[in-house]
Amino acid sequence: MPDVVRYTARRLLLMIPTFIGATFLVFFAGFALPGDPIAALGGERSMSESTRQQLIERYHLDEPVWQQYFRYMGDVLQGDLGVSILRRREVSDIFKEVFPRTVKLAGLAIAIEIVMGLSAGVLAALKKDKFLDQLVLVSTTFAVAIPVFVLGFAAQNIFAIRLDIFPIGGIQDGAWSYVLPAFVLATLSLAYVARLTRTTLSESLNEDYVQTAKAKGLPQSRVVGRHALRNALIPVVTFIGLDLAGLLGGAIITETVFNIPGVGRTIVQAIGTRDHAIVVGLSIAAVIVYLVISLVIDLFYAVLDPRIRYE
Amino acid sequence: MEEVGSVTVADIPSHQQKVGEVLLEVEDLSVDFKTDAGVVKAVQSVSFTLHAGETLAIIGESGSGKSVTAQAIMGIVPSPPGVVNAHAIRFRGQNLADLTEKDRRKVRGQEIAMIFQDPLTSLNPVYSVGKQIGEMFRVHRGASRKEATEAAIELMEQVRIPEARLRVGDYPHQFSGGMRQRVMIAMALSLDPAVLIADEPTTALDVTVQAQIMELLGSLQEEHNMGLILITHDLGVVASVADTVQLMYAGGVVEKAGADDFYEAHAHPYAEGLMRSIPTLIGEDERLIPIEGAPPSLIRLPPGCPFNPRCPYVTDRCRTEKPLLRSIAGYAGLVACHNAEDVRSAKVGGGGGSGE
Repeated sequence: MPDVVRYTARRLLLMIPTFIGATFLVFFAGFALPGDPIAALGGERSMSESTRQQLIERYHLDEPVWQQYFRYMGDVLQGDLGVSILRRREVSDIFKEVFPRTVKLAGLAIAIEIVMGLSAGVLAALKKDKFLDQLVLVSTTFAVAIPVFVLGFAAQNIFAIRLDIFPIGGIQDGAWSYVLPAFVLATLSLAYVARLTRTTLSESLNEDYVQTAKAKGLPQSRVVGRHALRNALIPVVTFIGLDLAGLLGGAIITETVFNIPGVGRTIVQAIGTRDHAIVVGLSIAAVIVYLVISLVIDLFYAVLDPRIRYE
Repeated sequence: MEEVGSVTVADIPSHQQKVGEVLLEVEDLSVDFKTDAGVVKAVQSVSFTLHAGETLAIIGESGSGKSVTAQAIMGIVPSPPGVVNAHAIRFRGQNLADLTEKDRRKVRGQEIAMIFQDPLTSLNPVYSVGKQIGEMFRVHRGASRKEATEAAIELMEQVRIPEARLRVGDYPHQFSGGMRQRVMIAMALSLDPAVLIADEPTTALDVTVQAQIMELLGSLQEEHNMGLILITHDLGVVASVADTVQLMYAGGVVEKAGADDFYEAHAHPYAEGLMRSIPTLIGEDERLIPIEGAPPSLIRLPPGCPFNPRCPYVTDRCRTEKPLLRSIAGYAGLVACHNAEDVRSAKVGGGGGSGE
């Protein structure tokens, strides 16, 4: 279908300015971080002027920012995210180590969002203004109102310390270690998904095509599932997709509270040690992941809503 | 059918009352909607019978209860807030209220099908038209995907959608309004229903397309010997196709007659007002005469006749006593008006204004 090709091409073209803008901002912000990277490398020891000069030249720190940016981006496009002088490791190596943990955490959280958020939203829409609906409204309001770190500590206190079901933090217990943090991470978005689904589904249940579906003599399950829900899900899928893209950039608070060495916590630690290479490298990797996921979402969106393809 | 849009007595083709099998009997149907503002009496004790091959036109302005009547027959009145009460709604002698939801579903769509006013919003935007037509065969007949698509193509050809085979995978937004309504008709007719309810099937369409759709409906009805309930506010549409006419006002039936009788000699002041407000293509200098006032709130109906605040023939009796449908001398129809005789004689005396 040429329409789909044109649509995809347009989305890809639109990604280019976003990519340049976002990466430049990240790169520039890395420079704006206080502290002299060379001095940080030396630590407590003093450094001779010639060594200092050598290091500046080696890392091209004497060039203007935009020139450094293009040099750096050239490397990034070849898979090189730079080198952490402090850790004496390639940033891309560090990324390969920490990213899978963030993926596990985010993937589990999204799964929880989809299963629980969608079910709660669908039930609330079908039982509008009844007890179940009110319950969903009240509990989602709660979920939105509680800060994530409070929720994290409370979950640790109850489920790890008192009930001793889950480990309190770390990733020593394999997949099991991710369950509690994933629930905590999912809570906020789960509430949004439930509310969004409730609104869009109860709207689409009033649409004319649902009346048509009923008039066709279709069973209620098909009227709701195939006709109303399919339309209602279009905005929900977009929300979940963008949420996934965001979570893959690292869940800073949750990873920190539960001591999960993923992208988020690694960036926070690197900020603490003034490790610019890691901060910038991982952030740019997160930007790329975000862009790729949102492209996939856009394409999926066009599959879900045929009207988009011909806009 | 080029006379659609203009109604003059001379143009009305004479329809013979076809007497086929009795398909649908509606007895004393009422529908209330319970809202925060009060109970909306959308339909009040409506009764009628529909035969095979017959076209019954239910006429009325928006809010007169004609669409809700259709929804009640289909069993798709949203509930809550809707409450349907009927002495009986019988299809081929079977009271639909006695059926389980599962059996009722077999009647719905297969035996009694319905098409709606706006074909764009009535078709699901995310499924191809072929899928939506084919769904009838998939769900009700257990057809395979391939069989369903073939059946859909055949139906699309039947309703004269050009290049049906190429367009079966297209989505509703890729069709024009008239073609969309053809898709709706194809879908409704897919399982060869005995009764078709068409709720304002041409209102959302261009005038030129309206005539084509009515012609299509007419020929399909003849082909399948269907009972057709045509719900409309457009008297012009009715004139060319209806056998019987039922005029509704504020949820109740105010006049009921054979179509020819109705056009020649309607007896209700509301019918007279409607006739006068139709534009004609023939009478050049004629001014349209609107009906004064607005329809009453269905929550607070006026006491007596619901039309009394707008009626030029109003008497004191009309303000207290609600008129029931009755026959009057010299008219083959039934009319719910205390002063129907006066309306008739005023017309005969030269007061009528429909272009002669």
